[in-house]
Amino acid sequence: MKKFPLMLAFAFLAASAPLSASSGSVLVEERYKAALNRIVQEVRATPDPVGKREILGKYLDKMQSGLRQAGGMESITGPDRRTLVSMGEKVAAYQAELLGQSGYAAVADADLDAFAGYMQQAMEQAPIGGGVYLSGGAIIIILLILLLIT
Amino acid sequence: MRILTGYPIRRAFASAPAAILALCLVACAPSVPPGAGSGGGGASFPHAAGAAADRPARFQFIYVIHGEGSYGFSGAAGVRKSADSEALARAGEVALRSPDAEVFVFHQKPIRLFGAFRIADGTMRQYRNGSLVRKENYRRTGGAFGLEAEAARFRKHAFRIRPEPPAGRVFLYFGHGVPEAGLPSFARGIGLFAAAGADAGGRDTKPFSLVVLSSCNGGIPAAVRALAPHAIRILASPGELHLSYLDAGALSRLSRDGDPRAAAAFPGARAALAESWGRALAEESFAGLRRRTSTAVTVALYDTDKAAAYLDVRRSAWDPAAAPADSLASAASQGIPRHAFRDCSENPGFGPGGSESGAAVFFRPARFGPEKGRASHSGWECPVREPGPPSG
Repeated sequence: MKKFPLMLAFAFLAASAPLSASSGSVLVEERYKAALNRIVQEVRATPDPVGKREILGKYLDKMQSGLRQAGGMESITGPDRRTLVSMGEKVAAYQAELLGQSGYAAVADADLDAFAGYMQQAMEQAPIGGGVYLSGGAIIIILLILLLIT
Repeated sequence: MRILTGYPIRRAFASAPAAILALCLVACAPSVPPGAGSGGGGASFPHAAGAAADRPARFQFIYVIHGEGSYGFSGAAGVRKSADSEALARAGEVALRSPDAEVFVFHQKPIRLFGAFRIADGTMRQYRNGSLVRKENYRRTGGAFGLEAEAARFRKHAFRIRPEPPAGRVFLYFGHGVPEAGLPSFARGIGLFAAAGADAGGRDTKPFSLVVLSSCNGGIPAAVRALAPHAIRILASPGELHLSYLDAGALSRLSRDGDPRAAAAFPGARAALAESWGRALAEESFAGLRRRTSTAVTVALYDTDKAAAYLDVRRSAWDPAAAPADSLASAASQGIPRHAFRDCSENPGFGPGGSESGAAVFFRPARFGPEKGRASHSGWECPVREPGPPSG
């Protein structure tokens, strides 16, 4: 009977192991969304437009940095890498619009809160990288990197 | 815990295996909701909540809410919400406020023991005429996008004796977008519900008045074409859809306010109901999404007969199986990732879409971003494909 707890623990692990990849990516993605939400709330709570721009700019820089790191990993396959490039282009577009570059009119001071909300909604409404289009392993790697930098 | 009442619980939990077994049995067993009562139910409906629940309903709403995945989003003031939980709550509200409807709500979310052991894949709730009459967990079959298990429960528990087919039958799906590879399985699953519905009536050439696809990229030609045989109207978002979803809350009001004789009164009445309900839901969804979001909002109501005819003569403009090699594939050279989407009107030969294609389009461009000045949308989005054989 002393072996029973050990056997139970083994059975528990065996049964839960197949779930860990998908459950893990969901947990990490939810953590990422929560981190992004904190940044948006921080922007809204900052009264000074210069401070708001600084928070948004830092966040976007870190996103670019993380996506570049993820894209450079050998374990990321071709289709996943292209999706990362696309995500990086989206982030670059946010940066350009925030700063008024690449043909964008700069986001007005009064619209910075709304712009932060727009970025959040755009990233939330589709799962990271389009969800099913990134492999589960790639999602976990990418999100772990993004979590570290946010 | 109802089934353990009166049982020596301490003894039942004397050993861990027994405890696990007992919890599994509790979790998997059909349950009767508190307050549902037991009077008035016949042999077919032992848990019905009195006479009201035994009366045939004029309407039938079937909700499938996908909940396995990342569904968190931020509501007003940064409050974190779960899209599937919100959709489940709203479906329950509609069901309880619809005194003339039978409502099935399938929540496709695993139920786990100790957070790890998957003991069920989803929960079914059945409401009749405003009362919750049944709740049970179930195992899914038919793959990630199959609906076989849900359709089987519908066939088992839905009212079989009706004086006439329900005046309006609506299927609603809430979840992340169904990928093209999953569409055949998904459409086949909806067809199983449709067949069950047709059996009950016999007069329904298209058993669903309305199919609501509350997901990203529901309004793609492949999806609308696949579901066209099953529904008179389809309400969907061709583009990305915020996780606060389309708003189907009006169903309870619509099912209360309609003329009781309308569905059977004259030829074309079901189509008229589908159009008026679809338009009401489209308008309310569009208004709500405009208010809540600053991303682009595209909601479209498809007349499936008209849309199918439009799509069939332009198949090569959207279906890779019918397209000349590489004609749909300019994506890679533009750096567009696999499975990105764009307005189908940008595909050569697709045409303008819109009303000509049977799509009533409600569009508001994003407040920011490269397309903030965009004036219109065709109502259709098409996957942008890589050169080479389609990846499915």
